[in-house]
Amino acid sequence: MSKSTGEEIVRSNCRTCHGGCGVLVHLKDGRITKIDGDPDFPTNRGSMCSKGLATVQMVYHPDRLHYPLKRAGSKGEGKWQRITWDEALETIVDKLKQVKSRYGSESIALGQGTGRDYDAFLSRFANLLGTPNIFGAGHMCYLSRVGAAQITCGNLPVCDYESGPACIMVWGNNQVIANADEYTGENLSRALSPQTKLIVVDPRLTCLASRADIWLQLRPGTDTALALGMANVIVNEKLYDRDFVEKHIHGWDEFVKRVNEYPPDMVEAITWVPADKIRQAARLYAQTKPACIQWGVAIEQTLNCTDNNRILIDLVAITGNLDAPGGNVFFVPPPMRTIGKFTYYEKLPPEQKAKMLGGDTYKLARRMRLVTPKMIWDAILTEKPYPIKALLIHGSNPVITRANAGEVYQALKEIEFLVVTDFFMTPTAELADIVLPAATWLEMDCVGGYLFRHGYVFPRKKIVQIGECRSDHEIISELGKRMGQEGWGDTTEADLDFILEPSGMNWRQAREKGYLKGEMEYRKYEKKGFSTPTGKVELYSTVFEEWGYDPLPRYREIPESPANKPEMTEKYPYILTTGARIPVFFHSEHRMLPWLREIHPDPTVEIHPSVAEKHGIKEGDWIFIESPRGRVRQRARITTGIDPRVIAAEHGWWFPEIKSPDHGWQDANINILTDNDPKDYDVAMGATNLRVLMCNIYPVGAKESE
Amino acid sequence: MEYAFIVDITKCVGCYACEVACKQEHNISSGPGWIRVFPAKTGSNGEQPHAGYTVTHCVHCSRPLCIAVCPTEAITKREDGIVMIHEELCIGCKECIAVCPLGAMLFDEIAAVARKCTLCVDRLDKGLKPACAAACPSHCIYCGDVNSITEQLGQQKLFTWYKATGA
Repeated sequence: MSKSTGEEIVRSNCRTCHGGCGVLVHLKDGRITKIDGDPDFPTNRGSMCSKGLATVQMVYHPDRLHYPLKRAGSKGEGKWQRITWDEALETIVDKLKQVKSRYGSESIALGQGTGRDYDAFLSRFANLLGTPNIFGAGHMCYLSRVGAAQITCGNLPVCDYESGPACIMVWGNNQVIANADEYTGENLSRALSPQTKLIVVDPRLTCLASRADIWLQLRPGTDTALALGMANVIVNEKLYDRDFVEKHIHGWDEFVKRVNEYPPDMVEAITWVPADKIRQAARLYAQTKPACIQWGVAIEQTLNCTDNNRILIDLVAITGNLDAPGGNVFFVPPPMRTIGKFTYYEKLPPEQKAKMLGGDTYKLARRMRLVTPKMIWDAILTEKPYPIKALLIHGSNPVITRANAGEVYQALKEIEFLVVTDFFMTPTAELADIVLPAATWLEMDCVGGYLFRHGYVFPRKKIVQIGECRSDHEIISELGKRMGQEGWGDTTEADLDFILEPSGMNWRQAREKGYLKGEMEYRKYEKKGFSTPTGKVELYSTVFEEWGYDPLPRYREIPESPANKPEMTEKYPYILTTGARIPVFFHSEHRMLPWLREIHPDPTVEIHPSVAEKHGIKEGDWIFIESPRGRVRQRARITTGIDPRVIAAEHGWWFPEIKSPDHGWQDANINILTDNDPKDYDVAMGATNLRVLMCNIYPVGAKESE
Repeated sequence: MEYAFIVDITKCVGCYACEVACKQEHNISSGPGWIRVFPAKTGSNGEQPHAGYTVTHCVHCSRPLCIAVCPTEAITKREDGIVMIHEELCIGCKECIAVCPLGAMLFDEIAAVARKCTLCVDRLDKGLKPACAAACPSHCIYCGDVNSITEQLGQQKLFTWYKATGA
C-alpha cells in the first residue's frame, strides 16, 4: 500500500458467476473503489463482464445481510431478530442433532445453487453427517454433462480455443454474454477470426447466430434429434475419422444402426430445420479441421439431457476431434487432491448411500450424488419415502430458480427447519428459521475452479470484511466441527492447503503465484485409452446397458409439445422456451444493483411481429404468459429473431425493491409456469424440463398494468 | 499523435461490460454512462435475419459541433484530439446536447453541467486503455493513434467512422 495516498491494488480472481477472471482490486483506505480486469491473466486478458465489474455495488449494498438472523414472527412474515454467530450455529447444531436422532441423518438435506467452490465443503459435511441428500442445479446443469461424458469417454472434453479451432459449433449456448462454465466469452470471441467457420444451433437469433456461417434455428428441445441427424449425414457420407473409429470406438455398428433411424428428412420434420441445412452443417463441422463444439445448459434442461450430451460427445469423437489440438480436449488439471478424497465419500456408510432420494431411479444422478429437487419437496410434503425435516441452503433461491415454483414455496414453508445462507434477503431466505450472511468473493479465502475442466485453479484471498459475513466454506466447516465431525482442518486455510497439497504448494504460495495450471498433453488416449469400462469411447454405453437404460442415444419427444399434446394447442398454442441468459444478471441474482438493473430494468419476453400483431401487442407492452400451472407477466420484445410458433421468456425474476416478504416472487417468475412432474424427467439424471412447454399469451389489461 | 476512438460494432456482442466499466471508472452511481449499448432492430440481411448492437459514445470529432455552439467556451479540443468539457465554465445551457449528432453529450442533473466521455485521460496517461476498451470481452473497442487504428481495422471501417462523425 502506498502510505501517502492510502491506495492499494490487490490481485484476485472474480467469482461473480462460476468465476475464473483475473482481477485487480483497487482499494483506498481499506475500501474497495474499483475492480479492473487483470491484463496479465490468461483466462480473461483484462476483460470483464458487467456483473463482475458491478461487484463493488454488491459488496457495499445497503441491503446486504450483515448479521445472523432468527425468525421472530411466523414463517414468511418478514420479522427477524439479530443473533450472534454462536447462537445461530448452536441453534442449527442442536436442531440437526435432534432431527438426526429422531428421523436419521437422511432427513437432513443440503441445497446449493450454482457451483461456487464450496461444493466440495458441502459434500464433505454431508458425507460426515451421514446424509446422501444433496441437491442443486447440477442434475440439469453441467454435472449432468460431466456425468454423461464420464460414461462415454471418461471425462468432459471442452473446447481448446487456445489452439485455434478452424470451425466452432456453438450449440444452445450464448457464451459471449453468458456466465462461464469453463471459459469466458473472451476466449470464444478471440477464437472467432474472420476465417473461422461458425455454426450456431439456437432457437433464438443470438448475436453469434447472426454472425454464423450456418444458423440452425430449431424447434426448442429437439437438439438431440438434430445431432442424430447430423451424425446420420457424417456416417452415410463417410465424413468420419476412420482411423479413430477403428481403434477407439466401442459400438460402431450399433451406433450406425441407430443414426440410420434419423435421416435428415425425418429430422427436418421433428426439428423444423431444413434437411439441406442439416447436411451442410454436418459437412462443415466434419470436414473442417480442427473443429470444436461449445455447448451449454440449454440442451440439459429437458428429458433428453443425458442423451443430448452423449450424442454431442459422439460427434466430437467420430470426427477425430477428441483430445486433438483445437478440438474438444481433456485439459490436465494441476496436481490436486481429488474431490472424492477431499469430501471423504468413503466415510458415508453404504446403508446411507442407499437411501439417496431417487437414487434407485436416476442412476447417473446417484453416481454424481445429486438428488433431483422434486424428490426433496415430495419428502417434505408427503414424508415419503421418509421425511425431510431440516434443510440447509447455500447460495440458492429455489423459489425462483427451480421448476414448479408454487410447490417449492409450499415445501419450504412447511419444512420443520430451514437455514438459508445468502447475500440478501431473497424470497427463499424469507421462509427460513435462521438466515446467515454470506461473504462475497472479495471477503473470503478459497480455491476457485476446483471443479472445472479448463486445467486451472485460482486461489482467491480475502480483501475486506463486511459486517459479520462469513464465507460458506467457513460456515460449513464450523458447523461440521460443532457437530463433532472429524477430518476438518483447524482453519479454512488448512482445508485449502489440503486441497492443494499434491501441487507441492500451500494456499498462500499458490495465491502469490496467482493461478496454477496443469501441464497439457494431447491425445492421451493413444497411451492410456479412455477411462471407460472398455477403454474406448462408448458410443454404445456398457454402463447404461448394465443400468438398464438404452445404451445408445435417442430422441424423446418433448412431453408438453404440440406434437405430443395436440389437444392442448387450442388453449396453449405457443411453445414457450425459457432461460436464455441475460447479460447483466446471473440467474436470480443482481436485480438490486443499480448499474445492472438500469441496463435491464424489466423482465422481457421475445415474440415474433406476426404474433404481436395478432394479439395487439406493441413493443414494451406488459403481457401475460400462461401455462396450465399459472400465469406471469413480462414485457414484450418484438423480434424477427424468434419463430412465430415460439415465445422466449426470461427466468430468475423477483423484485428486491418490493419490500414485503414475498418480493414479488409470483409476478414474473417463469418457474410458476414450468412443470416438475417426474414422468417427464431424463431417465438417468432426473433432469427437469425447464426449457420447453406450451403456453398462451395475451396483453395485460389497462387496469392490471397500473 | 492524435487519438481515435472506435467501436467495431460488427464485433459487439451486447454484453454491456463497457457501460458498467465506464460508470465505475467515473463514479457514476446510477443513470446513463458515457458509452451506451442499444440492441439494433432485428433486420434481414439477405436470407438470414441480423441481430446486432449500436454503441453510442463521443468519438472526439475532428470538427466538434459542441465546441462550436458552446457559449462559454467550456469545451475544447486538445492537441491529441481529446474533446474535453471544463466543468467550471459550463453553465448548463444544454446547447451542446442538442447539437451532438451522436447523442454522446449527457446532462448531470445534480451538478447541472454537461458531461461526456473523457477518453479516460487519467488512464491514458498511465499507459492504460480506457476503462471500456480494457473490459470489452470481444475486444471491439479501439483507442489509440489514429494511424495505427487505421492499420488494425482497415480503411473500410474507418471510412464508415469518419462518415458517421461528419469529419
